[in-house]
Amino acid sequence: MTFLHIGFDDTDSPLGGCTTYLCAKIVEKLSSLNVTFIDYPLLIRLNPNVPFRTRGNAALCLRIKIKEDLEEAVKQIVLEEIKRGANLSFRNTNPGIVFYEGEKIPPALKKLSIKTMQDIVTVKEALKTAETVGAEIHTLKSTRGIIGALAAIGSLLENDHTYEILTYRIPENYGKPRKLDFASIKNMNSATSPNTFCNIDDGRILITPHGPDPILYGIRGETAEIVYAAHNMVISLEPIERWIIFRSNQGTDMHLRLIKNISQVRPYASVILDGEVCGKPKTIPGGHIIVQIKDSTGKIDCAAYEPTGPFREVIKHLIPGDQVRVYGGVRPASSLHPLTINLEKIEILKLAPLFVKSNPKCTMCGKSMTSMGKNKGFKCKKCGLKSSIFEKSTLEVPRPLSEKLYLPPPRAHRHLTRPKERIGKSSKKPETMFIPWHYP
Amino acid sequence: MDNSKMCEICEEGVVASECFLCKRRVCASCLSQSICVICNETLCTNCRKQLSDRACNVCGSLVCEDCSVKINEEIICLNCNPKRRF
Repeated sequence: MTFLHIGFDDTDSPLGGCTTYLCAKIVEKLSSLNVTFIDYPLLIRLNPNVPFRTRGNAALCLRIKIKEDLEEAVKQIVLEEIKRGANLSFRNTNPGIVFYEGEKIPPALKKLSIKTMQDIVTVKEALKTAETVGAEIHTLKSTRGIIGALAAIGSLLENDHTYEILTYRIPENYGKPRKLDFASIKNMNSATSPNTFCNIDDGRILITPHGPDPILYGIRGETAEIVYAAHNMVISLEPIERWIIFRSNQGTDMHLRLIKNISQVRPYASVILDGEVCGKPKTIPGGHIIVQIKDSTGKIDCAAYEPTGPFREVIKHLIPGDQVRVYGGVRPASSLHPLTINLEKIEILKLAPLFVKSNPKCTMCGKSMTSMGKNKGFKCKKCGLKSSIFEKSTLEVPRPLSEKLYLPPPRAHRHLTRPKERIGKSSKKPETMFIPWHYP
Repeated sequence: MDNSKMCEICEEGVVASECFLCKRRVCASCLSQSICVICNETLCTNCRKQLSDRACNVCGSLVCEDCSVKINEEIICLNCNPKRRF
């Protein structure tokens, strides 16, 4: 028997298509060949800050066990299905398919996988890794797609993972509004949350995408069983062509890497960084909030964008001296702004005291006194007391923030962002697979 | 070898210079004309001056903020925008 790992990436475009859909079709075809799937299909989200991505920067991996004589047939199915389904006419769609044989995944592939999630990887680096580990690569246009394909194979999700069930529409409905029973989604959310997450946010449905892709809806959760049960609670008002359960790194924060200081911040990386707020937060056109933080090596802007809604209020209330830990993706500098961390969340480690100066109280009647001018003292308007010895008093006022982690609402989350329902949770790789995990 | 002396990109070569755009400390083979291989791959295809942070939804080319416009949540590069039919 042969262990075959199949990774693929970059088959879709903004005009349509979805790599997960091709994966579902490949699974259907391979199932008819009686191959043994040794894991759920993996849906691996890569660094969300790279400019090459189409939407969510996902790559896919299938791990199977087959008889040696079936190997060529399997490879043929995969290559044909991707050739047929990929949107090759779009300039930025560069499908990459990688086959790797072996029971164990080499450390070099695991390392590349982590780097692809947290930073940016060059094609040269990926090609070199493929050669080192002996992976078989196939490209349909340029070689860019092999980066994600290799990264998906290298990702074992041993320490944490989530699941997502994705349902697909019949082709006749592509591009039309999605028809689902809203009440059934609300019921499903009440019955399964927090074991499923990011279903609804403030009355807005989050399980359906909005683009022309074939996905009808996707439900994310802690186990394959719960996402399957949740799927059965949702009433679809249009036909479902197929569905499949993926094991994924979504909602795990796997893209974030703790860096030591600001001097180590690089464009496109996803970072966790400690610093001290060093300026008043500013609101810029569009309703975005910018706050600057510093450490011994420099200063950097952090941005909370308008779609993060109430999260911006947290940033607005920061004051110089607050110690914070910021989480986010690094946006390269342009002529309009310097290097900036796009905030995905923020942890307030220590709040600085906030003092306000106020006029003194009248010693006779207790009323607030008013200033008579610079260095001229204060007078009481009620009882007429005047004195030049009074001074403004300094009062510490309570801060509207606490020393804790703040997240934007689910609608503004990245796919990889760990939602509040998953804080402190982790899931070990399952020993058995839940059945059914795909249809047909 | 001391990690601080190793190339930030290939993690193999010895640091020879700093990338002019991203400040990565890289080895000679990861640097070309003062910019590193990562910046070379992500440079805006229009102005070739700044790093891109988006791809045009029409032609797919990588562009920077200055060389693109946002129309109905879609990023369109300055080359494709005048050719669009409304």
